[in-house]
This record gives sequence, structure tokens and C-alpha cells, in this order.
Amino acid sequence: MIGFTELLARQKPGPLNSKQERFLKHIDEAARHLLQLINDILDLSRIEAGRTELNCEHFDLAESLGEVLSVIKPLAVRKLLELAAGVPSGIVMYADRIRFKQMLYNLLSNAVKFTPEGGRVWVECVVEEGCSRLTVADTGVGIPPEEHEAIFDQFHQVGVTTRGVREGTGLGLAITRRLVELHGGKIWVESVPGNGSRFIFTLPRTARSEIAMAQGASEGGPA
Amino acid sequence: MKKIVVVDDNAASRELIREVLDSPNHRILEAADGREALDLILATDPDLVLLDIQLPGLDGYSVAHRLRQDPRFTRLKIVAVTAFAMQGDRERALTAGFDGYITKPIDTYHLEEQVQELLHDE
Repeated sequence: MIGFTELLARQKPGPLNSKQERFLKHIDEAARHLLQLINDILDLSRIEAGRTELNCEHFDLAESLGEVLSVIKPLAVRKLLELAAGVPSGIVMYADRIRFKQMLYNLLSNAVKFTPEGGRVWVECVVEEGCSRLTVADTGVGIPPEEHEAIFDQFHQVGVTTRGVREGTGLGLAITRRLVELHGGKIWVESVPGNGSRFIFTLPRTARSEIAMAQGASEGGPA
Repeated sequence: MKKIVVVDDNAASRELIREVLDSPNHRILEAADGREALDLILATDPDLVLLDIQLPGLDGYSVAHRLRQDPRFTRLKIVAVTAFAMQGDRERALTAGFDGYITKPIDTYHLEEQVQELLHDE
């Protein structure tokens, strides 16, 4: 149990020597990794079994993005990464808000994971004819062209480029792709090894989201 | 001294919460299912209830619902504790009359903070 490991690490029940502390850290990391793996497998199998119902609603992009960024921020800070969002205010999305945040979180946590210290991770959004196009970009290690399709497969992890980074479960992108497709969108990557990656996904827009945006603009004045 | 009722069918989970909240300012009481929880809360009039949602028999939502119908417990602090962050659980818990929401595995720091906030501990 992760909670008990945490209690021991906090030395609440008594002091630990340095070796015990180190061992406990390994246990804690492995337990969290297992938990992540189990959650991802359950999530993916629920989606594959068609058991995932989307609760789509209209919501403000900047607000949801802000919530995800606040979770990602500490991870970025730890790696001295610059985290930025170039998203105009007032964009109204139509999607399952919780799942939408999960997609952004998956892409952003990957970007942070595979970008070396001092790099940059950012999010862009462009509203196009009939769809919103979101981009999560980084200055990280990049992905060779022959892997641009396979990275969205279950358990696939980029081999050569990750240089020992193997902390993920290999399921995040598979889940993200399924979620994007469930919404009727598309996801792909543009990347050159050594020159960063851009993960791009589109989500269809509804007539109502256009109206909500137009109303927001007229009520709130120019954004 | 604040009275805290911990409701969970898993003894290890109750022990963890008891350890985290162990302090001279707290008196921790435990219940292993919904009915036991209601009896204990009626008998002891606690300051805070940490209520697991997935309980055998009467689940956490039903316990909270019954408590909220009793005028003595409309202002009792009730925090939902749930095994995994299922989609929409948080929203559901907060609209079902809970004052807070904690997911398992329990983050011991977060638990301490939430309890302090709700009880205005020093």
C-alpha cells in the first residue's frame, strides 16, 4: 500500500537509516508504476470494450487547460523546463471535459518526460473550419519517422531515442488516440529526431460552440 | 478534542488513516460498514466523517444521504474516500452532499491538509 510506504518514508513510525530510505524509495516508485499500469490497462480495456460513454458538454478551453497545466507545472519545474500556452481566450470546446483533460495531460506529461532539462514545452490551439486543432509541442528528443504510427500502439515505447527513459506504461498514447477517435477527431505526430515533437489532435466543433464563442466575444468585448 | 469517524471495510485502510491523523487533538473512531457507521455517528456526534464510497450493503452515498436528512447532521463535515478516480466521481460526490473528496491510494499529506482545513485545527 502506497499510503503506508509514504508513512514510513515520512519516518512517522520511527527513524530510518539511509539504506532503508533508499529501499523504500524503490518500493514507492515500483508501487506507483504498477498502479499507473493497472489504471491504464483498465482504462484502455474499458474503452476497447465500448464501455466508455462520453459526457460531452461545452466548456472554456483556457479554463480546462489551466487545470491541466497546474498539475504538469511541478513536473516541468523539476526539470527546469519552460511551460507555455499560446491559446486565445474565449475558445469554447465541445467534448467530454474529463476525457479532454486526460488527453492533454497524457500528451503534456510525455512532452515533459522526453524533453531534456532546460527545454521548452508548449500548447497551441487553432480553431479551423469545423474543428479545433490542438498541438502539444516540445524541444525534446524527437521520434524517428518509422515510429510515427507505432507510438500510438499499445505498449510501444520509442526505442533508440528515449535514452533510458522508461518510466511510462506505454499505454498513454494508445488511450489518447482512442479517446480522440471516440470524439470523432484525429491525432498524429510531426517530429524530427533531435528536433522536438509536435503532437496534434483535432476535435469536431458544433454549431453551438460557435454561437457560445460569438456570444462570449460580444459579452466580454474583445478578448 | 475533535471526534473523527473513519468508515472503511478494509482494516488496513482504517489503520492508515488512523496513523496519519493520530494526534492529541483527535479522537479516531472506526466503522467497517454503512450501518455500523450510522449507529456510531448517531451515538457519538462526531466533528468529521471520512466515508469510503464502496462499502458492502449500505454504500457511502446512502450513508451521506441519510445523515443529511437528519437535522442534527446537516452541518457535519463528511469527506468521500474512493478507490479510484472514476470519471465524474468527484463531481458526483460534491453534489451528493460531501464536503470533500479524497482518492485512494491516499496521499497522506493531502489527507492531513484536508482534515486540518475542515476542522480548523491549529
